[in-house]
Amino acid sequence: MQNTGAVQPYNYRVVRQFAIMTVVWGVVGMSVGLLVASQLVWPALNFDLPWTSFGRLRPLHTSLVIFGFAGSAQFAASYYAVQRTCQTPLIAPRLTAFTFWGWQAVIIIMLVTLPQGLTTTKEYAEIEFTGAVVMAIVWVAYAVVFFGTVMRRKTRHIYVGNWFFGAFILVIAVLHIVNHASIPISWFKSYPVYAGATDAMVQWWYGHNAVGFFLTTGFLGMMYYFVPKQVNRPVYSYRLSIVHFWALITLYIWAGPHHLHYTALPDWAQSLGMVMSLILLAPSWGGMINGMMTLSGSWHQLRTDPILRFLVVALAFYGMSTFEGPMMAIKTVNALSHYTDWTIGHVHAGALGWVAMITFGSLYHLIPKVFGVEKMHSTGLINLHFWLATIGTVLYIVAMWVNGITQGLMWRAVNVDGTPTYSFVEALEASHPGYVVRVIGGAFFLTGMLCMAWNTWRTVRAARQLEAQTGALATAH
Amino acid sequence: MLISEIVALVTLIGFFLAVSASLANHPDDELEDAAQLPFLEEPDRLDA
Repeated sequence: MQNTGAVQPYNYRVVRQFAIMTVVWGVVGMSVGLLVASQLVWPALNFDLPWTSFGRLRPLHTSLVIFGFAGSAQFAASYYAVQRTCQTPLIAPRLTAFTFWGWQAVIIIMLVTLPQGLTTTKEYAEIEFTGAVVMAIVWVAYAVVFFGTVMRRKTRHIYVGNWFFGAFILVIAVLHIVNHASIPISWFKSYPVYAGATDAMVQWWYGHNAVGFFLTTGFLGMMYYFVPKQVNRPVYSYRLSIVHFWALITLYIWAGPHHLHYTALPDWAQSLGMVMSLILLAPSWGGMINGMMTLSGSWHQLRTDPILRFLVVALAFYGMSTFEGPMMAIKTVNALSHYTDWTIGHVHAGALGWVAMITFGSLYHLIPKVFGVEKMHSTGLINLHFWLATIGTVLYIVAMWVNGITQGLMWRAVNVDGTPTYSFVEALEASHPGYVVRVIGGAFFLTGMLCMAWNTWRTVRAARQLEAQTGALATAH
Repeated sequence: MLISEIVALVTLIGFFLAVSASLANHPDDELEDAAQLPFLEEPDRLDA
């Protein structure tokens, strides 16, 4: 902590860059998502080309939305909030700029290599060795900028939102490096140093915490900053936020084995994953309630403020998916749900309902401020985006719940002689209507994203015009 | 199962100690001040 005396401007340039790329990668990643969802309805859309086949585009979709969209959003939000709550600009402007260009390079590497089939085959960690090394270097630079800024703060206390951002940065560094430990045989081919059940356990320790830390902890940091700001009142209970923080980071890291129920993983590890997942419900709901209760006395604002609606609906979906997750981690429930579309529905309740909605709300709050305009170009478009996103999410997850339970029940049905009642293809045929509904839900969600892109573009253009007019006025005087 | 129960117990004890230590370091009035941090920001300082 130090006082530099002279007032230095906040570094909003990097925040603007990451905010715009959040929108860009959102459009691209969700478009690929809609394409792969359509391929499951109309297989001809695979075009009989290896580069456009489902198997190659599906990891491209997840990588673009997780690292491109959600990653850029967290860079933007954390850089914005840490400066303002620490009352000091980001340290090391060049290193900060490197984190932006380096992160975009990582996404481009994914965009180029994954359709070519260059993949580790590890879910959410598909990027091959060279890309993974670049990613690790950028992430370390991010950690230096973030924690360096916290250390240079002018406030005594570190705001709790920054605790969440900090934990997200540290844990993702550890997860990424450990899971990507591999022996390269060329620039884009490597083999993991782990094997068998150990490899599976390391992968799902990473995989679940990619959800827990990349798609939850950083976004909770966002929630703790942007919900109070948008409501214009402090967080309901700061004490609860501290309990929430410690409980979440203590428990999340243990929950990974629930992805490996009924596999070669030792039974005790499976049970441990289940127990920790169940306990995790408490801190998750503690955080959700803390966010919701921040609106106490201000619920009427929801009638007129679509940005706040995004933030509150995000919290509602967070509460719903963090209830569903622990339930699905119970072995007997998992016996029905595992390998079915229920899992895909659960993931998207979190990804669309929580991650994307809190991102939209936060960006609609942040973009006008960093571009120096009063508000977004069109509040009506934000409202339209909200309804498209909400309807799209509900259609998506309901379709996948129905499909998942149908599949689980059909797969486990047996005749009196012990043979399966239904073939796999019969279960697939029964899933077809759900896949159609999912495409419709995805199209709703993507249309909302396009509204946001248009709104952002018009806001940025208005800011540029305002800047030019102000400049001309200053020159004239 | 015994290993999983022991690990779960140790984790919960660790969590209790971390929260207790964290809250003990922050008396009530400091926590109230901390909750105000997003509202004590300096005016927007746009970069040049």
